[in-house]
Amino acid sequence: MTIQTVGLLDALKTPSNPFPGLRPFESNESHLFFGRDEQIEKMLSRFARTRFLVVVGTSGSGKSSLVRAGLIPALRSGMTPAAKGKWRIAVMRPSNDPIGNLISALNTAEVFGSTEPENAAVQQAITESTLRLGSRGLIEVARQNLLADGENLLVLVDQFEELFRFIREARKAGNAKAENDAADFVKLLLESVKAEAHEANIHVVITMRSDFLGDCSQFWELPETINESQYLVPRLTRDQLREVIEGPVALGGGQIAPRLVNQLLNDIADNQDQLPILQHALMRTWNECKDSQHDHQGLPEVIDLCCYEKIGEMADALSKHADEAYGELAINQREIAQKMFKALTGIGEDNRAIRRPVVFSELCEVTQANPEQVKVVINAFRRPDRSFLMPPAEVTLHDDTPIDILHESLIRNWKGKSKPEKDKRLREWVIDESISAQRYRLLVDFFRWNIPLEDESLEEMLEWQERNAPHPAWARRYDNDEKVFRQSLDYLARQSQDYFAQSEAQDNQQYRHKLIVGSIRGIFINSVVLGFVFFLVFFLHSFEPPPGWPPSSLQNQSFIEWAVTQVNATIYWASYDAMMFGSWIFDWWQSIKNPIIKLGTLFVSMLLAMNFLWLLKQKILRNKLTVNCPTDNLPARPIGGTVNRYLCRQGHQFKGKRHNY
Amino acid sequence: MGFVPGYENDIFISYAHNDNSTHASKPDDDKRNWVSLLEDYIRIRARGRGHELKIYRDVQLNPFTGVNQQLADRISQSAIFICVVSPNYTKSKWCLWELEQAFKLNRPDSMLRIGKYPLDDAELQLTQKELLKKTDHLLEARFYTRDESKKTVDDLQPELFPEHLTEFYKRLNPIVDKIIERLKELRAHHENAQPAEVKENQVAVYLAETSKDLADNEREQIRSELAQSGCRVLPDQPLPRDASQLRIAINKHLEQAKLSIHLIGESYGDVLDGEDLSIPHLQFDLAAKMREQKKLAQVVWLPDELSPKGKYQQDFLAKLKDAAPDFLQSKLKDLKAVIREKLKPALPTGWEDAKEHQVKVCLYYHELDKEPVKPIYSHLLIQRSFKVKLPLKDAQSFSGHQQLLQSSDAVLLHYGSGDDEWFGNLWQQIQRHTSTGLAKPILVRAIYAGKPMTEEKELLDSKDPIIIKNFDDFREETLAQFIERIELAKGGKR
Repeated sequence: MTIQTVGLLDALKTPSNPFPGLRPFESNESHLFFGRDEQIEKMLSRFARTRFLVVVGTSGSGKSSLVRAGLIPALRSGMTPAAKGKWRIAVMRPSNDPIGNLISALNTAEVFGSTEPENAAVQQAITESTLRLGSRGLIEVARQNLLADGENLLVLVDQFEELFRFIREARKAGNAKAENDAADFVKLLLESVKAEAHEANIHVVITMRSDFLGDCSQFWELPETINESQYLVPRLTRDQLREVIEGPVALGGGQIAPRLVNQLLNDIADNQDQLPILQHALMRTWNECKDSQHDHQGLPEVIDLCCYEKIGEMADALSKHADEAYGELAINQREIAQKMFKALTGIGEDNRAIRRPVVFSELCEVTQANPEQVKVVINAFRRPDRSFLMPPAEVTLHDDTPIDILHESLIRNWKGKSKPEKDKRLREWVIDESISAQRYRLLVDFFRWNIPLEDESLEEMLEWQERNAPHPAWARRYDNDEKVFRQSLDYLARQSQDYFAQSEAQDNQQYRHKLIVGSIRGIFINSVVLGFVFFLVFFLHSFEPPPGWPPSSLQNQSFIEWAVTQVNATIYWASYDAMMFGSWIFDWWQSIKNPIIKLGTLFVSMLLAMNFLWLLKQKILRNKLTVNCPTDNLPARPIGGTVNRYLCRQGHQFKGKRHNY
Repeated sequence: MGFVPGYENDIFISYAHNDNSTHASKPDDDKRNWVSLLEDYIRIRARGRGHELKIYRDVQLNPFTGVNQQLADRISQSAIFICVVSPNYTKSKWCLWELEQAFKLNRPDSMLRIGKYPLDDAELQLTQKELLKKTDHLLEARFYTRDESKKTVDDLQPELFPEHLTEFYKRLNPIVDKIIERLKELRAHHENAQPAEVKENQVAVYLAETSKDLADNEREQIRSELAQSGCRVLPDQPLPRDASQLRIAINKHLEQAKLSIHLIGESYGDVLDGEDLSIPHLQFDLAAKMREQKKLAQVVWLPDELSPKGKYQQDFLAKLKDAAPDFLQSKLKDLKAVIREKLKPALPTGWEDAKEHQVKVCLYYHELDKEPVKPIYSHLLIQRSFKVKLPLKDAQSFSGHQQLLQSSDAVLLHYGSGDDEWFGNLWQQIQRHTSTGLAKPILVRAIYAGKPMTEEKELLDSKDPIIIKNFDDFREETLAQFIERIELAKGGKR
């Protein structure tokens, strides 16, 4: 990691797009870094006094840009009376090896590094041994390298909060050396800015997320130093935001409509990701305006509402942009993308979505895809005009290259729909992933404590397994022990087997019972209806004795024969009645003069008839359904095959529980 | 003597005793009745502003004394007269007598009317009517709402219902502010006899009258916020409801103001007879004209989720979106923040010592280049009689550069012994400061590439900034292009 220097001729160039989008401003872009002069001045005055500055702010407050494009260029330009002279700037992130990274940062060519490769190793080793001598190591390194008169060394530790993660992991793993390393690293920084070390001309700047401020008390003396030199990055005022918008436009040689400026300012309102989102929207709007395809409703060349609406406005610009990349992928690549982003994000301790750098090889394992495919997916998201992922497009990917989401605001703002599965995007994926991880941890607990899985818990676990197809590479992130993962899954398989076997007999019995009861009920209802019809017709026509009654004929006829004639008569009369009723209706219908009423009645009668038929069908079907498959209460979304069949047979009810997947 | 010198009391409250008692309260429980609450609140608020007031209110009810010269003196010896008007007030001949006495003094500016309960015209006698009609012109706070359609009146009874207290005080706030302001004026008048000068230090803000949905809550909040931070809020009297007077009155107020604030509600607002535009619309237009002449700043605010009623308001909104320079659609807190920003006093530019038409030049150079820069400096300063500043020496702080650059006419960066990094970073800073937020457009930006010669300096090429290359000693012709450009731009402007 280095600090970009401003090339002589670069300084005179007009940028093609003066907005950086999601990435932070670089130190050679200070001419585009508007609206922060007041903040820079406050920082400078604190910095000059203590030689130590802790820039603290929320995610998205622009800490990194403020230091890179604000503080450093201000120092280098000599515009501040407090700090004169040349600056050598070592930039680092603590990552997984704070002292090692400090050594590398000090040994770049811009700082103390040697340009000849054979000297580099020697130099590196000297620096390392000196740094590890004691807490004044950094001062000695600076002296060894003979800073010229008036030359200053600035150590910039970006994302200092990584150190706390480093310590946490070291403690978990019982790695005492790592823990000591972290403490030594902090001590090196603190010692080099003390008043008695001022002749060494060392300065330290730290950027840190404000959530971690409390953690600083883990180190001796750090809180005291921070109390002296903290700078909490304030929100920009409306006027400053106006400069952020109008300044680069003017510098890039463009024009922006005042109404769009107001619209942008109103839209940004209280958004936590104020700055990255605004920068991204502006970058996109600028490109849209310069796009030859774009139809300007007003003046061409003026950035106006039409350009802004096209990119999806502030609320959707990021989603839309990321969707473009996602949409270009083939179906199987989309799946890789989904798995990849799930691996690159996480839920922090305070339930906030955070990014989580993962090295390339691990990413391939987690996504279970071949590296070429993963590269295609990564490249789609890190093209220069997109840059959602780090490292930038020009860096080749090796197995140990860390892949990272450029800014957390992407996690919060790339949103899809909660349903269906294919419309989900990063925000939903993160939630899905955290639920999945929860289930997995639960399963491991079940296994460790040997708790039997039953009913709902079993159903949930089976559903989880079917949906996520967990594999060891995935589980490694949540539990380092692969054995535990395999055993837990075995445990789940065993449990479900037992459970099914146990309930099989019971199920079959229940099934048969229901079938019989249902059939009898169906037959009974149908015969009652039929009998009633027969009885009705019989009653209408047969209250007078039929010819051949009294029993004289009875002597000639058997009862059966009599009954048969009666039934025949009933059927005859019934059809006769129906025919008479029909012809009467038909006569009445024919007598209608008005054609509208005539057609109307025809229409209504057809409707009635259809309705009747439909009711009949329902009735029959319902009788059947209740017997065969009691699934009326299944959840809106059918879940995996095994469980589904099993539940069908059991007549399982979900008690109104919804699965929020 | 009270707050205002020359008067025995600051305030005289004239009220009917019946209005200051309830059936619930004991006769001597004076603390929690209507008028006592009013009096206490005025006293407490004034104390909050650092003024101890002396308020006179006739507490002892003694019908046998009746009116007398002593009471009349009290009225004339009080700086402000407040009457609490209600049906009880009109029925009491003492009250009316007090009111008459107050009018005899002929100080309408120092009289206030508190409407406790609406009057029924039918019950009034002719003489009473005439007297009370005079009070219509006084500044008034109403503590009731009358629903014309239902013929009902809702009045505030804080003495009976504690939940009325907040609203009661809220409505009292503007009146109290008025009282304090008036008392201060009177005091200033007495002490100095030059009240105008005192006022000049106060920033005047025009807070436009708005439609009814925002008047009571949002506008009142902004008004009290402004009043508290020591601004004079205009219009300080209700705008005339007469078309011919209206424009004149608005313009008169706007001329004094530094900032005008327009709150836009859901309805278009009242349109006066003989005027096409509603009062809020007219105020915006007149203020916009002033703004164009750079006499004041203008802020337009509307609530977060506003649904405009009617075509006129929709059209007006569409117009505002295009025309207003500061158009906030947000929460009220954001407006308050913006107002605070706008009222911050401007920083000094650093060019205060320059004459008005003098060309102001910022000259940057590396500290190692003092010698080669000397002739350039003296040429600009002496031969051309420009005003030249050396920001790297003169500017007290980082933002000092911004102030200097933003008000300068030209900037010249001497690029000699400094390294690329110094030059690149410095030029980028200059570029940033000279591209936006300028007091007036900068005429010329130039880079003077001097000794020692390097390949990269040779390659420098640009139209803006203009590049002056001279790797030898300084000659007057070298700067000819630079000066020519300045003269040209200056001339062009004139």
